[in-house]
Amino acid sequence: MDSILTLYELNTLVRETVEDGMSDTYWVQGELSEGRQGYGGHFYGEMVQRADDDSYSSAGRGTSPRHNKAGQANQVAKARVTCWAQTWHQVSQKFEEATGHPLQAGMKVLAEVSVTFHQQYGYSLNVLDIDPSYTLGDAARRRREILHQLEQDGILHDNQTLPIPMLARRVAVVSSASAAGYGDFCNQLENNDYGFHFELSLFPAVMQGARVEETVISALERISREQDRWDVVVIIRGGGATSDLADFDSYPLAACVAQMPLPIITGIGHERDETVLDHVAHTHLKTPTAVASFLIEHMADTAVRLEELGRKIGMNVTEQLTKGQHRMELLEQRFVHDVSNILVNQRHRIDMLDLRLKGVNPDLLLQRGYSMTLVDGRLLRDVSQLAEGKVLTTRIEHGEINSIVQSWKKN
Amino acid sequence: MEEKLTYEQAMARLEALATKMEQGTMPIDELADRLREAQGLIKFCREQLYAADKAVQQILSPE
Repeated sequence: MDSILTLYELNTLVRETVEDGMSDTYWVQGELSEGRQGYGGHFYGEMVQRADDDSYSSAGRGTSPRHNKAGQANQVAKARVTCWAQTWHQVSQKFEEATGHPLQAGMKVLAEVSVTFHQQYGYSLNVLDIDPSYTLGDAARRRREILHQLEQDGILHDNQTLPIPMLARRVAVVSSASAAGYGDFCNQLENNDYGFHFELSLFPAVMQGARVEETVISALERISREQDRWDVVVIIRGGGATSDLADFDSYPLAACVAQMPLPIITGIGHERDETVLDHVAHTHLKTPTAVASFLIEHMADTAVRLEELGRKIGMNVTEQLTKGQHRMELLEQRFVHDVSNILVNQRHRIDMLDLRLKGVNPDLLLQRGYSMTLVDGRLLRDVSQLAEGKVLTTRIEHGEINSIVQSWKKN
Repeated sequence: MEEKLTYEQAMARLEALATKMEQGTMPIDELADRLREAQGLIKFCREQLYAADKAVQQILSPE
């Protein structure tokens, strides 16, 4: 029993073995399962590897926190990690500049570490560097894979083919009442310069964290069920610096958005990144404020178009009326002309008939001293009508004379 | 004269009467009667024409 050691002695032995045998630095990949900056700016956290995590072979990694997989049941490896203040400052700044996200629990990271062992605190990894392109490449690849799947399913551009109605006035808002940006969005729409009245209704959803997918899909489904009540759907949240867009890089969520029967406008974006949701939405904008401006401008465009149409119709009507009036005037002139022509013609016809009839009135001839002779009641024109002893009746202006034929001569 | 004589009928009758008289084929006994008839028809037609003219003027004059 000579070889009984104190715990401290044993731990010192382990420490020496570790420090001698593993004096190199190592690049290790794993999930940052928790972490916080402690007193003095040092970072203290934990790195894990999970049994069912396929991310080390191909897909599935990303900046998305895996809260749903939290817990220790499926962990196959775990280590405490520390990062001294000065290193942490540099590493975290570099990471955020490259990825647009702060380093936070749930992310898959590739870290350069040295292995340490402390007699009292045990085994831990000292972080010397973190490669942001690993996390970034991972998120990008994950987005690409989701987009590829959506394209294969033939639904990637479905929502973009829906027209935004000319009067996009009834707006279903998917957001969180407490989300930064939601209040601004409502204020901006309600107090627009044009005085347009928007009808807003909030369909609450969690806009950050593990429940984004589930709650946003649920909100969209509720909107779908009463789709006739809405013109357009907006998904918004304020751009908090700590927001994690990866929550929106979800296949089920993207598929739901793509297949919505109403056009969707997103305002969840980050200055640098576009989420999968942005790719499938009808229109994606950076901020809730930008979405509000878009809706207001859309209404303003419609108002201008309506005004223009009204003006065109007014002009057209006036034109048609003028044309009609002109036509009527021409017709009236023609009609008046025709009627007076007819009347003049007829008067002329009657006058002519009158003249003709007057011309054949024998009384006129008698009045002028002519006489006419009748035989057997017929006008005597030819001596061949005569026979000896016939009675002739001669009419003169004032009276008749009867005489008997004695002789005649034909000329 | 028939009761519901139209202008056109009256004019046609007048034309026929004038032609017949001018041809001298009309029996002299009928002549006076036909002449009287013709004068009546002419009066009728003038009245019709006057009425039509008056009606047209009334329609066209702005109230």
